[in-house]
Amino acid sequence: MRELVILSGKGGTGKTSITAAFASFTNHMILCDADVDAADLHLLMAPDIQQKTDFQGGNVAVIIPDKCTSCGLCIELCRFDAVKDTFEIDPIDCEGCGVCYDLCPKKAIEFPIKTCGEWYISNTRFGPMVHARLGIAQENSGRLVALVRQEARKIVQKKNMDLILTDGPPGIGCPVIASMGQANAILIVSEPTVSGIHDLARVGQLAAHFKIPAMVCVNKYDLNLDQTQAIKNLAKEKNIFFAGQIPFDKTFTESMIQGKNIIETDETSQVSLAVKTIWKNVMTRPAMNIERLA
Amino acid sequence: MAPIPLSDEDKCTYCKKCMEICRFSAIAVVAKKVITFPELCHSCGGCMAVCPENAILESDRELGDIETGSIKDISFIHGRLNVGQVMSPPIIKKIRTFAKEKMVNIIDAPPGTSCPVIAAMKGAHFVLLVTEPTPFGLHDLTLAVEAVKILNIPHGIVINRAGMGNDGVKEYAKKEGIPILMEIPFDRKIAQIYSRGELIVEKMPEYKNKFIDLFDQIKRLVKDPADKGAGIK
Repeated sequence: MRELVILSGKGGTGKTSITAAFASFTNHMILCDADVDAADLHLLMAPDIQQKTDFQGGNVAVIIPDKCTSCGLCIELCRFDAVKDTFEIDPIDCEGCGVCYDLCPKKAIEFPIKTCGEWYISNTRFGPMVHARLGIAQENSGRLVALVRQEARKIVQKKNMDLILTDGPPGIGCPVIASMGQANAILIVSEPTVSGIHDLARVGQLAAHFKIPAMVCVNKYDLNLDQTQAIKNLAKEKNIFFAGQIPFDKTFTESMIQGKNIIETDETSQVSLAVKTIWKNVMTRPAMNIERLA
Repeated sequence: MAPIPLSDEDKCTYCKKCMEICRFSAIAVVAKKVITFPELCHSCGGCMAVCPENAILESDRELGDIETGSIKDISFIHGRLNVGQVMSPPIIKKIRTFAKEKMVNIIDAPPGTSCPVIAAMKGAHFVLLVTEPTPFGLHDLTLAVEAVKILNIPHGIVINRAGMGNDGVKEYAKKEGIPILMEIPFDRKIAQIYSRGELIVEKMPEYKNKFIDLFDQIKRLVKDPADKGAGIK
């Protein structure tokens, strides 16, 4: 079993469109949308949901007014300023640490489990897909990312499939770290802009920190050839494999509007050919040809 | 910096109360040893509060760094999470303590709708939602709008790369009654200016007035004009 995680650091570089295009190049593959915070892959995949499960991401403290004597200990203890002067807890500020619940002298605080989102197993025209939706203003996106990846692994093993294609979240924080552990490699979709390069460097550092082989491709490379060259130089210096470049093309947007990937729109277009080359370069790397234990 | 527990093993009786209270599995007592996992710690202080022997002190752990600077009369605060650290909200909250009461404070927020985004916009007077006219843009915009509504903050939309996609965002904004404050057309020249890290208001002066107009519109939408401040995504 192998897993390729597609990341970007910066948002809006084309990560999800490229993940969707890759799905056209292989059978025996499962798609995993690990961008649980703002999942978009389903907009291209039209998943037919087979199974829907609540994600219970933690607990939230609630004060029972009848039992509360307004002693103020919870206000004093709470490091997250979640207890208001009126002895109500703001669920958005509550970190779910349970300190008030455990230490309230009147046992006036309840600590129910909260549902932070849901996750799905679906069928798509490319194969199975595991995806999720984190509730608005909810926490624990890292745990939900770990969960969807774990479920994807189970399906891959059960169906005797070969590859997991994971569309990762933006940034370098908790959900990104949760999306890359134990993957064969990551592919960073960058763009030739100052911020694109900055974020590429950050994700590259993160991959090096966790010892995950990293690759990079540049989308919209012809917007700024100097910056594209800078990405190639950075990749060489940081030991990130340069997998290829894709010209700027409206096909990406047009395909998105039709709910298709760029290969379905026109497999002979320049962008389709460029993405196919990247796919071949990525899949023939040694890192992608090692079996990872599930 | 975020506080993490530091146990004093001379005082510790290995009662395990710290381990029992910790919801994040960041402290463990194994036989006669206390082990902490700083990366998992949420700095809730529960272990310290519960320890009957006062055997837990706090030490600081570095999550990232904060840099400040200024250009002309604009001050700039910038926070950066250390690579490999998971928790950005403490840094975001720290940066926001630099906000100045009588100044306009503009916050460039992270994407998404989870804890870092909430940390960046909670309590702001206005949230500007920057989107693009595509299915992905619209989908993520609807999530962001839900978050802004939960926090009950006045908001408006800027459509970036207008003209490249479809009318989904405009139809949605109309249906929801959210004002579209500005449209920045899809223009290769703008994309190239951005790619070099330059500002369109400087390189394309015709945009200067458009941005001033955007700001004036925001000022009108903020409920109490004397109480200025905005959160910008």
